[in-house]
Order: sequence, then C-alpha cells, then structure tokens
Amino acid sequence: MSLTLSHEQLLDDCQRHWSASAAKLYRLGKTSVEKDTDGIYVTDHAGKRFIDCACSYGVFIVGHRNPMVQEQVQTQLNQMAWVPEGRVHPLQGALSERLRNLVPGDWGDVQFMVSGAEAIEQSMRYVLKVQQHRRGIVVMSDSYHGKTLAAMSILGQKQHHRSYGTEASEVTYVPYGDFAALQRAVGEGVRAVYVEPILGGAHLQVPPLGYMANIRALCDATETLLVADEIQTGFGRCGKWFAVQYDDIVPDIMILSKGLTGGYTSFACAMYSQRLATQYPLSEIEPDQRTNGGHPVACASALAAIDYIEQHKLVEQSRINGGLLRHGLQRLAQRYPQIVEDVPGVGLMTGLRLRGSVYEALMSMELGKRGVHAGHSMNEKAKHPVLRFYPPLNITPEALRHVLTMTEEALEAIARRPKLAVKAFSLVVRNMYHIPNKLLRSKGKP
Amino acid sequence: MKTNDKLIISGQYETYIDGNGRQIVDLAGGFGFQVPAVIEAVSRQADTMGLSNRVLMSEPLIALCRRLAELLPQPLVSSYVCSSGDEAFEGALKLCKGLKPKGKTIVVVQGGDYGSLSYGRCLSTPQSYLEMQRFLGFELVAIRHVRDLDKVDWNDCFAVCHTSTVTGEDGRLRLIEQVLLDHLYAAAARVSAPVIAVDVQSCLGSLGTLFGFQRYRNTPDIVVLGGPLGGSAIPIGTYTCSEQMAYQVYGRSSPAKHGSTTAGNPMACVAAMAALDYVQAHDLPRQCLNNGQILAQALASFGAVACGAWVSLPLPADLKPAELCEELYQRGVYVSAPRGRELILRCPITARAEHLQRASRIIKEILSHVFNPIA
Repeated sequence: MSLTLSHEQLLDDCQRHWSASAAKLYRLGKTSVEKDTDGIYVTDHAGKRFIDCACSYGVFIVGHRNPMVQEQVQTQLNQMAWVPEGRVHPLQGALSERLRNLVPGDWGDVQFMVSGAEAIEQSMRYVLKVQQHRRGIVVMSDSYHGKTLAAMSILGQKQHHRSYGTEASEVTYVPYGDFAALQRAVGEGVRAVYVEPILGGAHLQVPPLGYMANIRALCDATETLLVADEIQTGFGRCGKWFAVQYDDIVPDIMILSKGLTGGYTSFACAMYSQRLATQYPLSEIEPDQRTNGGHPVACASALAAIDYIEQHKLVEQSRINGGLLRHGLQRLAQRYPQIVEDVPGVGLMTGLRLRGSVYEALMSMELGKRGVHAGHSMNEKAKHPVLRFYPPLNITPEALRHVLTMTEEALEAIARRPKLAVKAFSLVVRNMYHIPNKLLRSKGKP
Repeated sequence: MKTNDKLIISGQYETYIDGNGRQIVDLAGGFGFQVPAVIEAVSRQADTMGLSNRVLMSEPLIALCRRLAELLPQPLVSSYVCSSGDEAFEGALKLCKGLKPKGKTIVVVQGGDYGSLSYGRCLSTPQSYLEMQRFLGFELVAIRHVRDLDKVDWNDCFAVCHTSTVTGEDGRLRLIEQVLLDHLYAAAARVSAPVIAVDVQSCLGSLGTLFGFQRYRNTPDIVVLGGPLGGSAIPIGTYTCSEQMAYQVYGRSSPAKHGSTTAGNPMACVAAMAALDYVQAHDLPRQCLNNGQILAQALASFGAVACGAWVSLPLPADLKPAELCEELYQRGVYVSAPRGRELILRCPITARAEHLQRASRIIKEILSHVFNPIA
C-alpha cells in the first residue's frame, strides 16, 4: 500500500498543519500510517496488521467496516445523506423509537448530537434551565465527560482546568465510589449528579455493587437529577447492554455515543425520561433544536449496529470473552507485579493499571511491535495509567488468546530491560512533548 | 401541514423529495444534496475505513489540514478538525482560553449566528442563556457600533468573535460595516486578544468568495469553518490559526489536550476535500453570486437584497411569517422560519439556476396574489 506523500513529508505536514505534539509522538514512536481496516484488524501503509484493542477508546463495538453496517451506510449515503434544518428523515424517528425500546426505562425526548461532548453540553443546558431554582452540580473526580469548552466545566480530570481556567464555581467533585462523600456534596439537593456508571478513561474503575442504586435513591430523595454518562460503557462494552443495568436503575438523563457510531460516523444522543419530557419538553426548554447530529447516514449506521449486536449476541460475548481477557491479564499482572498494579474493568472494558507512564509507553511500543494496539491514556504525567484493552465485541477467543500471548511477550521484554534504562526512558516520556520536533526529524532530511 | 411534509426522502443539489413525494426547492442553505462527486468520494472511503482507531497517522486528516493551509491566507496554517462547525467554534474559544486562562470576557459582534453549542447559544441569544453564561463564568460584551468598543474591559478579554453576516435590529441580513471591523481588529490587537471569524455557514462560496471573511479586508487570527464543508455528506468543522499560536497552547503537551474520539475521521475529511474540490472546479463562489442575483432581481419589487447567494426579503407588517412559509412549502419552496421580519432565502451552494428561477416565480406569485390580493 502506497502513501501519497513520503512518510517524512507527512510528519512535516502533521507538525505544521495539524498538531506539532502529535508529530513528536509519531516521530518518537516511529508510527506508521493507517490504510485499511477489517473486523478486528487495522493495517498500515507497510502492510503490517494490528489487532485493534484500542478502538478509539471503545468505538468499534461491532468491529471495523462491519459488513452489515457498511451495507446500510452505503445504501443511505447513495440515497440521501443530509437533512436541512427543520426537516426530518424517517430513519431519525426509527432510531429514536429503537433507543426508547432498547434502553431500560420509560423514555421521552431523544436528541441526536454529533459527539458525546455535545450531548453532555445539551444535557447541561437542560439541567440548568429545569433546575434553575437550585445550585450545584456534583461530578466524580477523574471522570471524563468530553473536552469541548463548556463540557470541560464538569470534567473530573482536573489537571486540564489549570490550562484553560474552566473550573466552575458551582461544581463539586467527589471521589468515585465514595457514596458518603457524594451524600455530603448533594446535601439537601443539587441540580444534578453526573456519573459514569463505570468510571472510564485512564482511571478505569468499577464501583462497588449498589453504588448506582444508592445514588438513584439519594437523587430521588433530594429531587436531584441523575445523569448517566454511558458514552464508553453502553451497547455491550461493559458486559450488559448498559452499565446502569448492573444495579438495575434508570437515570433521568442518559448520554450515549461510541457504540451508536457503528464505527462509521460521529454520533451521540441525550435521552430524557418520559417524566422529564412530559414536565419539561425539550421543545419548550430549548426551542432552537438545531444540531449536526442524527443525519440519515449516522442513523442508518446506528440502527444496523444495534441489529448486529442483537443478532450476534455481542452482549453475551462481551461478558464471556471479557472474562477470558481479564483473567488472562490478571494472571500476567501477578507475574509482573513490578510493572502492573491490577486489572480493573468488566466485560470487554478492561486494561492494565501500570506503575507509571513509562510502562504505559513501553507497553504500547512493545505491543505495537507485536501487532496489537491498546488504548493509551495519552497522559505522560499519570502515576497509575490504565492501558485500555477495549477490543471489538465480536473478537474471537482465539484472537484474545493471541493478544494475551503478545501481552505476555511485551511484559517479558520490558521486565528484561535494565532498571537504569527504564529510568532514563521515563525522563524521555515525561518530557517528550518538550523535545523540539527538529531534534526528532530523520537525519539527512530537510 | 400534512403528516409527511416534514419528511425528506431523497434529493439532488437544491431539490428534494418530501414524504408526500413532492419536489421541493430548498432555500435553507448548505452545500446541496447528493452531489455525485462528493458522495462517490465518501463512498470509496467507506469501503476502506470509516472511523479511525486513532493510534496510527491518518493521511486524509493531514491532507485536509494541508489543503486548508493552502487555501487560507497566511499565517493561518494550523488546523484542528472537529465533528461540526459548532464544535469547532468552541474549540477556537478553547484555544483562546488556553492563551489567556484567566480572561473572562468575550467580545462579540451582535446579530451573528454562533452555532448551537453552549457558548454559541450564549453569544447568539444571550437573554435565553443567562443561567448558562453565569454557570460557565464568562462576561459577554456585544458590539453593534464602533462606540460600543468603549464598553469593553480589554484587559480581561480573551476572545473577539464575529460572523461574516449579521442580522440587523430590523431583521435584515447584511454584511458587517468595514469600519466596525477595522476598529475591532485594532482594539483586539492592542491587547493580543485573538479575533475569531466564524465562517461556519458562509464558507465555500455562499457570499461570493470561497470564505465569507474574505468579504472584508481583515485577516482573522482564527477562522472557523463548518456547515457546507462536509459537502452535505458527513458533518465536519475546523478551526485554523497560526503555527505559533497553535504551538503556544498545544505544542508542548499531549495531543489529547484538544482531542476528540471521532473528530477528523477519514470519511469526514474526504467529504471536506471533495467538497472543496467541487467548489473550486465549478467556481461556485461566482455561481452563488449569480444565484443570489436571480432571486434578488425577481423579487426586487418586494425590496429583496442579495448578499451573495443569500437574499433578505422584508415581510409586510400584516403578514404572518409562519403562514407564508407554509404557503411556500405547499407550492414547493422550503424556507427556514424567519427569526425577525425578514425572510432569508439561502440558495444552497450547488443550486442550479433554472430551479431557482422556478422558486423565485413561486415566491413572487405568492407575495403578489395570495398575501397581497390587491396587487
């Protein structure tokens, strides 16, 4: 497979025209160019094939270029891809209805958006209007609800607030899983609690059983709205269709995205309970419902993906294969305790919690050499980053065993490295984005 | 209105078929439906890859950013690709916040459409989003005249925003006064506050130039594109700034600082490049000017004025806009409901002249006879 430009020219263009820091990362990692995808595989320009356990942090629930989804995308693309403002396509209604029936609970308004962060923002605007007599939003430390400027005001990964001055005075952060702290923060009631039913991102954490049920009860008692961010967990990733099902609760507002994309288009939605929709219809709370989300191709992709998940019993597979993957990773964690702290997660939402960002960088490199992609936290300062393994749910047990073998080889290779070399590399990792690009360019190139 | 009126089934360029099987000329703007060159390019990409897993380098993403650098004036060479123009506008504001995290004030040219995300809504219709603005903790100063610049606490200003057109207090769509922009750019430059040109709806030719901000003599610090950029195939948005500005905020930290899961995916980037190719190959900015003239001349007796391919049409005082829109629709012309006392007719960028002529005849007839029986 050929490139339009040379690899070095692409890196130069990347540096100048897109992202100088990404160019540094690519140069240090000798990163190749994606050219083709198929199922669980991504193939680069040199023809090297990788098993995709990164999946853009869980987007590819049904794999890359899933044939059922692809067919529907192509059909819709060729029939009608767009809808002007104020008009609707039949698939939008069909998808809304499908989601109302699929997600446990009694649902009213469904608002399509183009990204999870946009859907979070929309829910924030709604919460602020319908709970305007109150103050306060409670969110979890280390939580991730998107990085648009407005969504950042409830971002639990607080290191970003320093860079942008986005800390909102009305937002209280409590440690994830600590119900007593949450109770104190909610007090007599706040506008809303935002929670990921399983904490995603680089801080992957499954809460104790009953945590979400307790939050539901607390919100009911204090008339606080409960917003469940199922962007990462939904559509089977966590071993159930939705993570709220582990505690059998229904939130007031549900945010969905990654699985909804079908691996083809940017897509998200905010769902509002029937109770809310009756009392405060979205059309009255926000009459201008303009959005770029929910175009016909995205809806076709989402509907086909949901069909595929159902027909191929991917939720069950996620539970079974998730067990296989997690137990295998736990066995490796026990063998390499100097590198791996533990293996958090549930379903096919798991990973290795590593003893520092240097090990995350080393693991990514070693796995890459062995044809496996894992989800890097992209946080070079993280003390205990989770290198995520979020493969497509239709990955086979054989492929997972291969991933485990490659992971074992990678850990072995790292364990063999002299401690001093690891320490030196740690310095590089922690300061990698401060290295000028010109020092990283290939010798002899202009 | 019949049940299936709002449904859209298929279409091409400026015309679509609704749920009742009727042909409707769309005057709500955008790129135009199902342009073969764009659809074919996206379809080819869909055969190879949809979204990216974001581990390896993406050729379409980098190619689009390079293309934008070639098209935009210096020093605008570094682009960030987002899932929509609205998201890109917030991205641009985020970049400005990154340059001045303690700044709280946004200066905005009043009467513009700044999109559907939270900041955009606060800027476009501040009275509807006072609680959101308070929650987000920023100050907003809306500018309509040069004298309004004196109201600004410039030391606290972290961003200055303007669109390419504004809706005046009378509801009329118009360009911004050049003198206002000159003063605004000068004031912003004195305190190093970046000026963002929001060119989401007006890019790709609608105003007669490839980018809407090119109707003015000022070069913005950041340009936001979106809307038609996706070729009415896949939504996409971008914001572009100088290499130096990009490096200052993002150059020494993880790319995740401005990242997004699906933004800049290959299908969206291919759609944008195909749309740009098509616009340039067919000289659509010139076609947009012609199309605007077709409508404006046909409706000149009603006071219609063209601004590129967009035409502002004043409505008689006794006319109910919703009833007019409904009547137009029943006769085969779709127009967005007006937000003031002017109907804004927006020809899609790829609209064909003969269909616009038909639409203009329908509009003229309705205004002359249905709503003005004396005429």
